Amino acid sequence: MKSKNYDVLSELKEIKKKENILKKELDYVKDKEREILVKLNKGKINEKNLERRAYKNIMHFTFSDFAQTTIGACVFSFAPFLDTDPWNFIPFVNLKLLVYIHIFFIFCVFIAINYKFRTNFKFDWWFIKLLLKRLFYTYFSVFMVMILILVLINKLAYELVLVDVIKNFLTVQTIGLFGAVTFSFLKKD
Amino acid sequence: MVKIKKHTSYDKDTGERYLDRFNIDFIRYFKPTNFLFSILGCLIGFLILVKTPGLFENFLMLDINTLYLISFCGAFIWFIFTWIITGLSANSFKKGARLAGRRGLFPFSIMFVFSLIALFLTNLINGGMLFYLFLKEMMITMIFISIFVVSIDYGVSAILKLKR
Repeated sequence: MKSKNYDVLSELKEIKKKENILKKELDYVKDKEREILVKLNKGKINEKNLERRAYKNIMHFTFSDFAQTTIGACVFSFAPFLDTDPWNFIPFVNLKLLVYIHIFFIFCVFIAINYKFRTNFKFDWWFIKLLLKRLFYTYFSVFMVMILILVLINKLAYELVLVDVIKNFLTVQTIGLFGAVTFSFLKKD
Repeated sequence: MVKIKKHTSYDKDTGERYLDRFNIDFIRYFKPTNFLFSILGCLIGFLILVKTPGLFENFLMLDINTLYLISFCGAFIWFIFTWIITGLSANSFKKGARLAGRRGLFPFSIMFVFSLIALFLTNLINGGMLFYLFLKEMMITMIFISIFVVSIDYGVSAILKLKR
């Protein structure tokens, strides 16, 4: 009887030992799980912060944005100053074609500005509204510069016909927009 | 002692709050109602300009330099006026200039686009005309229209805001 009791007790001890080991392993796994969860949460918070930063940046069209836009437009529209060749064939280009190219470029600029602030093209009405506002500011900034440049190179003269003036404007404005967007990708910090 | 009531303005788009000395929401924000008021002002102004016999022709007699002067002075005076209001309310003339300039940009763009479309539709301008004449007609239309746009857009929206 005694020997039987002894066997049962020793088995119980062994089971308890195994149970303790299992408990320790379980605790270790739980700790690891907690660590992984914390890391995941941190990643999510970082992603959210990045999104928020992008949204904050688009809200205000600051003076540095304006400067980048105008300088970009000036640099890219410098070619018409140096080269007189384009001005010779612009009067022969169809006005409709120029309008279509201009609209296409505006669309491209819209997409480019979107990717300047975020990494996707999800439809978010609030964001699209701010994006359109920024596009308007960019377009207007380039417009001011281009009018000045056209007056300087005598392509916006009183004696010109309206169709020619529109053609000149559309050509230079398209180039200016391209320059403005390219320069707006330069980092401020 | 008189206690000055301050006005808290909330921007729905950006989620930012501004503490103004008095209510300048009608200058701070350009809402769809402002857009409609601007269009209405453009429509009324253009109809009066075109339908009144001899009015447009009388304006056309003016020298282009006079038109430049009128438009520049008008825009400058209006900017200074709104700048003083926004500057006093926002307690910073730097912020005030930004607000006044930004607010004026939208009605100006609407007037520009509206004048261009309306003049084309009424056949007062066409592709074959001289740029000089086009510029003159555009300036006349914009100067005349601006009287109505400014009074309806700014005035009516301000009255509506204050009544609320």
